[in-house]
Amino acid sequence: MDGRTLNLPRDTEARAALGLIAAGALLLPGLIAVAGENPLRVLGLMVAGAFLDLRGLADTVVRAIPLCLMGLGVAVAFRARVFNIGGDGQFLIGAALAVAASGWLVLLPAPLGVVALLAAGTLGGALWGGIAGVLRARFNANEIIATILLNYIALHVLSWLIRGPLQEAAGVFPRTDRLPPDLRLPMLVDAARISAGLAVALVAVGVLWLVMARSRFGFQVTALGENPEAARYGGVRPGLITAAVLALSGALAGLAGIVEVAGVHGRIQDGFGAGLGISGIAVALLARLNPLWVPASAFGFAGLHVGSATVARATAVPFPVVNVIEGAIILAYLAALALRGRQRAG
Amino acid sequence: MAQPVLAMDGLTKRYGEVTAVRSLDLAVAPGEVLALIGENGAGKSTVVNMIAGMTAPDAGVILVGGARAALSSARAARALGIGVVHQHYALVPSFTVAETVALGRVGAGRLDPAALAARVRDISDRAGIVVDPAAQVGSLDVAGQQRVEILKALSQDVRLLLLDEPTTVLTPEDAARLFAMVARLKASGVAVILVTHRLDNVFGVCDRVAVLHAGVKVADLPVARTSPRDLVSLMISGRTGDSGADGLAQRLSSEDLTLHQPAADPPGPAPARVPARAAAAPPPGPVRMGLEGVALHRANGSVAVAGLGFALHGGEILAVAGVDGNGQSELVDAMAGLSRPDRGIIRMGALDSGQEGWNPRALRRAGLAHIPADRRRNGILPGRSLTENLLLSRFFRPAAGRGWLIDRTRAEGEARAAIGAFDIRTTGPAQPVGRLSGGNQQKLVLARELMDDPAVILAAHPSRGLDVRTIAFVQDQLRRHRDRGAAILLVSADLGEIWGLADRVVTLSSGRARGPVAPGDTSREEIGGWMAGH
Repeated sequence: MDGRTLNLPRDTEARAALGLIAAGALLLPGLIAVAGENPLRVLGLMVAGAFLDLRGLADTVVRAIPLCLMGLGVAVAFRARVFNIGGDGQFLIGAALAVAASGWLVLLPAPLGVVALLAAGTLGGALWGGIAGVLRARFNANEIIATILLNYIALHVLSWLIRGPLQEAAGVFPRTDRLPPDLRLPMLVDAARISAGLAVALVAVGVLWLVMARSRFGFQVTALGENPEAARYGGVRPGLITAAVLALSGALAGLAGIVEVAGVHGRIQDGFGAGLGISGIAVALLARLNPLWVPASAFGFAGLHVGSATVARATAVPFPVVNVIEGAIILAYLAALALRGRQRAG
Repeated sequence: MAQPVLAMDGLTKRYGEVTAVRSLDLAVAPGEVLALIGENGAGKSTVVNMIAGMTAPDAGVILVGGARAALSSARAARALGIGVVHQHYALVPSFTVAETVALGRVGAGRLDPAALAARVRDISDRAGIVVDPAAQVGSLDVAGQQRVEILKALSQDVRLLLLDEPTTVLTPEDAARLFAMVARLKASGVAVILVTHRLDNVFGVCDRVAVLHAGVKVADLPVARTSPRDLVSLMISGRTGDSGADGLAQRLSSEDLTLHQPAADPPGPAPARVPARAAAAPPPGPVRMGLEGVALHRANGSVAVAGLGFALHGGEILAVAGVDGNGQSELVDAMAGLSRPDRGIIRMGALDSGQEGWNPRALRRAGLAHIPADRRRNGILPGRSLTENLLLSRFFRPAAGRGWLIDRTRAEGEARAAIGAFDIRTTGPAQPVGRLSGGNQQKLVLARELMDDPAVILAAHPSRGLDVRTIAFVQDQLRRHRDRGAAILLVSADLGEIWGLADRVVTLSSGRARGPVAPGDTSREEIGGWMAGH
């Protein structure tokens, strides 16, 4: 067996990414035809709704912000071959911790308050991811199962919070009060509801790229993902790095959570952020786990999402077609991974 | 000879640029026990895999019972009556012995436990294997698990039983029991191939012995017509009458020979005493690493080494001789901080193996370097660039960057320097190392491990699988660092290499450690005998 079959060269990876897109592109018209519509018309509607219409474009950008942050978190973890499926839970706990702390944070001077709010969300996500990290590092508990289960716990904790301690003062709906205006993210484009969350996401991309490509920590993450035996041999402490990766991945999801609250909704309500975790995985995979590609990938998926909503309004094609496409991309990735594992073994 | 059960005709297998087995002709007759011996990397495993149907040969044919056989899978091999007991067992710990034997043999439908147990008892009686069909596999010791594997192999009509290194993990008593079973199978007309590196196995039970050296069959003769000494020589150098493998003399340039091997060392039969290096050798330096009463276990729980103790001095090369699988990898892992000894203690400076912080990074910070035996598994990140691979064991050094960032410019400069100094054939520092040849990968590992002038170097089979020029280069590097004052532990199965490099020798064999002795105070025959387990 020579080097060509053992490692997956970059051009193969690129081909795999193109293959994923092609598979999705082929799947979409098929599904639309099944729903009884003309695929071309639907595709036109979708693209127009997501990218060509100014309102649609704005919605796409708004949607891309949390997707980008979630995707970054997934990319970091998957690079270390730590499969964090708990983005949803980390997103919710991050948002909840920050909202819970908002009563005190509002006392801080204006710009500091928002920064502290974002930090609180980040911390919440990091803690939630860190639980899975410690379980994995200490007890070798499978992080996939741990993070999935933590998702359910987070969901139910949040459901209780917005009906209990964090419920709005009026006590009518299961939701929190709106954040005070001082703690809301300022709007970059007021009419389009694009908040400073966009800047936060883009800064996060830059920081993550620096961490992954240039830092000692990022080197260890990459080494661990590439060859865990060699990483340990070279002085990487696998437990420590795994735990740190899960915390960092969770931190980004938590940041996404609070950015979504402070930038878009202003409050947490039932069904808040549902499905972002899985979308984040698809985003990261399409970006080939490269932080620099995550924004583009997030923008594409956000467009798919917004465009599908347009299509669902105008035609018989139902909205969940997006979920099918996301699922197909993740499945294709897993298939590629399995093939690669087989190549390695053989 | 009767119609052979199995005959290999011109079998060849290549892996990339390496030819693992070269046009091998080998046959085994019914009721015959054939020993297939050779050093690690000689091609034994490849032969086993081809017979077991797990690897397809590139050329040549395998005949089973005189007919050309397509051994395309393990199942196909089983169907032709070939039973294989691999070195690494594939058992389900929670299954009983009977269930294990049934696994893969029974179709759908109800399982009749009583009939199954009866069948297992029947097979074990025929082969003389004592094992309780109701025992849980996980509760058995290594020898018991091996008996289960043998039962599995015998559970259908077997014409040929292939045992891959069966005695490595066994106590002498269990080995004797195994041989008694082999003798019974032989009497019933079953052919047995015993793949081994233990000579006592060959003389204990085999009729015929075939020796592989570097993928080529160099001998195939009745056991009665050979001697342990000849076999050691054949395994090491591919020739008889040459237990020390003067092959090194051919590999190295004459300049090297005059520098490091006294000219009084003629080719041919080795002299009884050979000085390790010129008389003007520096005295041993300070103790850099020490072992006291060290016991090491293999991953499967069997004892690899017990009661090992030595001190590694600066300015010396201490060789650990022995055929692979006798505890060398466990020893190196423990010394490198990848594991801890089960008993005893290893010390390096202020660090000792009893401390929480006995890990590769702490030891590397204290000046340890480690050239791993299995560079593909341990030593490299195949998909990453040369530059990144040169950082693998060095990324935590203060000099590798500023604060939490890595200095990529500097790293790339170092990579360019290493490519030049170690003559690494590559398209540049950005090339993924998985694309390099094995020899160039080894040079890269060597460059990385030696570039910071380490105080202690653990070199496990540093020249295994390399070409002549690269071997000379690797050995020269080790000498230079020894002369600089580094303490070097050299693990090798190549007596020629050991004699050319080492100042002292320890041998590991069958759980025992012997030495250290200076090569000048012993002979290659003696060390070779120790390696063979005498």
